[in-house]
Amino acid sequence: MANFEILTPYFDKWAQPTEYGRSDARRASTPDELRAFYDASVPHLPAILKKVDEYPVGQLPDDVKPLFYIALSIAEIAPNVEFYDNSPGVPFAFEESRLIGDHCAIAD
Amino acid sequence: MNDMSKMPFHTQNPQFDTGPIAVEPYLSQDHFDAEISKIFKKDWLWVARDEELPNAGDYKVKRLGFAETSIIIMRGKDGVVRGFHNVCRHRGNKVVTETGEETFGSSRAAVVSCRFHGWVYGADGALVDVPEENKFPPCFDKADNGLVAVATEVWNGFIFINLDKNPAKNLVESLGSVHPHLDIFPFDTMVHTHTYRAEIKCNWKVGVDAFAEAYHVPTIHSGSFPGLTEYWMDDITFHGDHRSQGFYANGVNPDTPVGSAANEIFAGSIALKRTEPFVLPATINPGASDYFGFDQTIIFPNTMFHVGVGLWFTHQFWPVTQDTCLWEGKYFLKAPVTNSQIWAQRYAVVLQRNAWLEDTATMEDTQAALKSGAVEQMNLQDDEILIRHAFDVIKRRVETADSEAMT
Repeated sequence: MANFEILTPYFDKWAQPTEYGRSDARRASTPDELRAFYDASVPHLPAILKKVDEYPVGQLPDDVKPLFYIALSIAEIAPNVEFYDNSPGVPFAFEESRLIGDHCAIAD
Repeated sequence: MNDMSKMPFHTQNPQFDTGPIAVEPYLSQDHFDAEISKIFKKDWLWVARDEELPNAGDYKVKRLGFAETSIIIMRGKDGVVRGFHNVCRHRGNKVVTETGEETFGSSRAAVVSCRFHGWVYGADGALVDVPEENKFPPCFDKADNGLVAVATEVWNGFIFINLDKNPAKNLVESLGSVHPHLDIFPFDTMVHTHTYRAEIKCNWKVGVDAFAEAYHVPTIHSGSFPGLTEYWMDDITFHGDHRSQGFYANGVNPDTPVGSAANEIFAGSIALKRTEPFVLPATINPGASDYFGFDQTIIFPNTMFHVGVGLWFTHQFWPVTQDTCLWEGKYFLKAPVTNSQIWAQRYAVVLQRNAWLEDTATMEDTQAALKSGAVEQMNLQDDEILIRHAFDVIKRRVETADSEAMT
């Protein structure tokens, strides 16, 4: 796991097991924080996905789970960085806090 | 002044007016009440999928706030799915305690029991056990006190209910030509579901209308779908009170590090290219266009099915008051078989969620603006012909006397 040590500073905020946790982290960020997380983590995305695919669905070891959650946070924030000019919220959107998702409180 | 040459859909469908439509049906309490009694309490409404109830004894309780009821949908030991009002025959408590708009449960014995006094009902609705039954009077008979049944039928894995005690048509008759249009689409192979919902301060028709045209895509979705700068509809078809159309686009989202990586692992987004071999029904993308995005079929009154290559999604708008509704958006993909597929699907769903946040953003503003009373009419263009059709169907249904409604 040594290769991923560079990501550990991001675990506290971004290694969130649920969609609500990840979208809350996104909305609580500044544009610079979003961009910094994106720039630091995206180069490691192929390696993370390769690592998590060493395990069957539902059988990720505890020490690999944070990496998977980091990848899911990358998916959560990617539109904001790639399409919304680093805006932490979805621009011109319905109030995100009023959106309910049946799967959003369930840990991945 | 435009002429009709740029209105091919209305030219092909001269039964429709082209003038403005009235705002009043979007605001009026009387109109709302008539919609509930003459449409929502008469028509088949989609409430569940077969896969949500895989085993005997599985049940789902769906709230129907507009009718001030909730429905237990339960699979019996005979495999048949039946629907009942969630109301105990003792003193009217809810039999299944609900945790939200949709509550799921399972009973190995295929029964539900009321938490208040323990009355037990079978999956066929029969009252099978009453604690201290001998203390009830001689006139009390369990056989007369089963759960109150609700008409329930299944089409293509979609479980519909009808609150009318004697529906004028069965479900398949009611669907008419929607049945051949969607019949071979393999809904049951893509049942990995992501469900979002929100209470939106708008009339339910404002919601349905907003999703029934692609005219808004270049403006509203310039954020999440920046590649879809030109979008158009075709294959406009009217199926009785239902309607369908194909959505086409000239492009897909641009290559980006994360978006493209996700799409290579699992092509689950409508804004990214999906090229896997996939058989669509003959009436969907009939011209085999490379620009095909998805087909939209609107099951009257409130259910919108969207089917494309390797995915499908739905919207439903449930009336609450004349200026409030409950929106439910569901996105269905093949079950992921690897962790990286889970990741890639999540990117597609997040992007779609964000696009839906862009869509729903307009709805409360629209209702608030209409409520101002500043305008009495709305203008529709050719591409908004499905909104016109909905307006006409609702007007006919609301103006039809109850005695003539059995068509």
